[in-house]
Amino acid sequence: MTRYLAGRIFAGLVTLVIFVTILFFMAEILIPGDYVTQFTLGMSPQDRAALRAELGLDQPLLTRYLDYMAGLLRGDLGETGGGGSVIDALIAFLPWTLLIFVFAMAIAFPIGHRLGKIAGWRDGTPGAAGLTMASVGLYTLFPPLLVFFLVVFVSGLTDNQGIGALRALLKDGALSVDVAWSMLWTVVVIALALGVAALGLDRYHRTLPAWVWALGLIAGPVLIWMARGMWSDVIVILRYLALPIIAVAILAFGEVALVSKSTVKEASHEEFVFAARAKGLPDKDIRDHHVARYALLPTLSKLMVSVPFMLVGLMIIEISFAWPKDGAFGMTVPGMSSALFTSLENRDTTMVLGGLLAVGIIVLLVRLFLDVLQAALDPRIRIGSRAQ
Amino acid sequence: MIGLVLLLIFALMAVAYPILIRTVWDPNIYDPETGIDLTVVDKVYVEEVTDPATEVGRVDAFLNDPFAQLGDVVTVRAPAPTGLAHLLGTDPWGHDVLAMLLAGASSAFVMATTAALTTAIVAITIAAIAAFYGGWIDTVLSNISGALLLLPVPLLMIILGTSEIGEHIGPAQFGFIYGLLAGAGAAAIVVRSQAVTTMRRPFIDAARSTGASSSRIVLRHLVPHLIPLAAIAMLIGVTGAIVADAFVSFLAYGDNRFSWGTMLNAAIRFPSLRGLFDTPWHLLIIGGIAISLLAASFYLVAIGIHTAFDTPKVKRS
Repeated sequence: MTRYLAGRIFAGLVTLVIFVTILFFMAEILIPGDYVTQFTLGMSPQDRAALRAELGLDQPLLTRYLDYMAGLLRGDLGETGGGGSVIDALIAFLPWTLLIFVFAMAIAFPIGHRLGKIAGWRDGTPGAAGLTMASVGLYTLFPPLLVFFLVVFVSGLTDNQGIGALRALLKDGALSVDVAWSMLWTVVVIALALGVAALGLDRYHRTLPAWVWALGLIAGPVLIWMARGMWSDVIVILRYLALPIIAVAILAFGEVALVSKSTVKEASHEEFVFAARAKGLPDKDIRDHHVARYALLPTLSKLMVSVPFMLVGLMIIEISFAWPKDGAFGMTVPGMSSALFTSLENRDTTMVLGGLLAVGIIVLLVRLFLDVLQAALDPRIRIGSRAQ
Repeated sequence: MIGLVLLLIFALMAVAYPILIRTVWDPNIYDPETGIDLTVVDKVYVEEVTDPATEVGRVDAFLNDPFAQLGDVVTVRAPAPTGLAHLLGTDPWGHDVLAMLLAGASSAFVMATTAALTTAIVAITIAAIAAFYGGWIDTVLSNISGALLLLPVPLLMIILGTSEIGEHIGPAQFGFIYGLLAGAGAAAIVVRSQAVTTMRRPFIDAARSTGASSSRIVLRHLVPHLIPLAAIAMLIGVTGAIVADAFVSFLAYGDNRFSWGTMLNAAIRFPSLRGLFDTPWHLLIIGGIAISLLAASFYLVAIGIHTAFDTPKVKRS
């Protein structure tokens, strides 16, 4: 297992290096001009040259690339055009996006998986066809349209002052990013602990009941937040992030349901289903204990491929909430997309690179996590990798 | 099945617009950007509207004449009503919604088709080269594909579309770049694994032993086995391209051509003056549904191909 893990991590690092290389040269092509041309209209040519030299923008492309890679090895992503370090900027922006993603998936996955399971098992019936069509509809829904509907119909009901208020609170210092980070850690750590418990029980052929999962995932974080005295901050954050979370959950739901449906359907043709049927097991038991359990891994690995696309959907939703700037919603989520697009407007290449790199690393981490999960659950993968 | 029918309808729509605008439709009325169909009525600007036929309130007066004072006569532009001339009605500025729908179809369809074809061709080429030569070529190519997989192509296309380059690329180029990146990334990985298993099958050895050339083995024996999988990968990938393209034009970036995203942009921008519920709903919903349906039709065709080629091991009783 350790060897397998080490191999996966090494492969991930190689991929990351290639990824950064592609990204670096692509950003040079994609973003014409640089931070200096964008902001120094009144400056003399000498001052401009000096500023360029200070930011290191006068070096040839290859030197800058090597500098960037060397910085990356030291965990330094360079400086933003404004002067702060890119890492600090990412720490301030990332947790909001990740919070939305984690909470949305926590809503979308259980519901989507359950419904997809039913649709895949009963494929061919009108109900399943309707569910499939609904999922396809949600999967291909144009995000700004969804955001508009949510703002018009839901935001009025919940007396939402707008997500923009969250940004103001952050600026005043009434709310700190640390709260968002510790919210994130709590949820992730509890989910991991439950997962490890489930794997442990699996050795003794027992499953962790769904209600333990639900109770642990809901009551666990709530208790910890209350104990640490950050409950009121959490409530404020969740109230402001509710709309983006709902929007992302609706979009992700369709995808989860479709993927679950197809994997459950494929699994229901396997021979062990025949055997279970021949044993005289009730239909529901075969579905829940044999087919759905078997189909869980392919579902996860297929969803893993869609994680980058879900992140894009999430960013599109963030931007849509902030659009139009002068108009109806103007609810800027203080997340990744606003960071990415502001720096894009400022031609702040280092920050854009840092943002895209963060997306890549998140995807890579999710992939690594699922690889390990698969290896832990499926001995064929462990043994197969050793044989190679 | 439904997917194919929908796709056919969109193709017809894309073809219909240039024909209609050249023959039946007067460009002065039906051009989605410059054509308008309005009736012009003079009304008096008053505080409280009691007779809508002759009087006009604050918001409408402002919309038609920003400098109007109370008591002035304001020229109010009233868009033509829904009827035989305008089957889906007109938007608040008098543009015909059906014409907008059809005009948007052609650019979206060109974009989606280019993206789909490029994805498939690039994916098949990379997969065939990697599987046929193997060794270090395979290693290099699959590592590049794996790295590209970390990069969400739609996000990159949104960045590209909103940058200055975006102003110079039309729908075909947009689709082409999307296809290059998507084809070399996710699609290539899926197709490559299929290509590697195909290369191990006995008929390839048989072809080799009869003295078939490399190009014959690749083109006649390997590539036909990759086409179904590449088709599925490309059709699913296209949904992202459609959303990215529509989103760029929704944000009013890009090369300023007319598209469905533009319709949504207009629809959502409009109510910022009047309040959210006063949105031109037909404009918003028709534009949004058109985008979703085009993406959905590609997805449904992909599922159709998948079920057609994927014969289950055991049929359920």
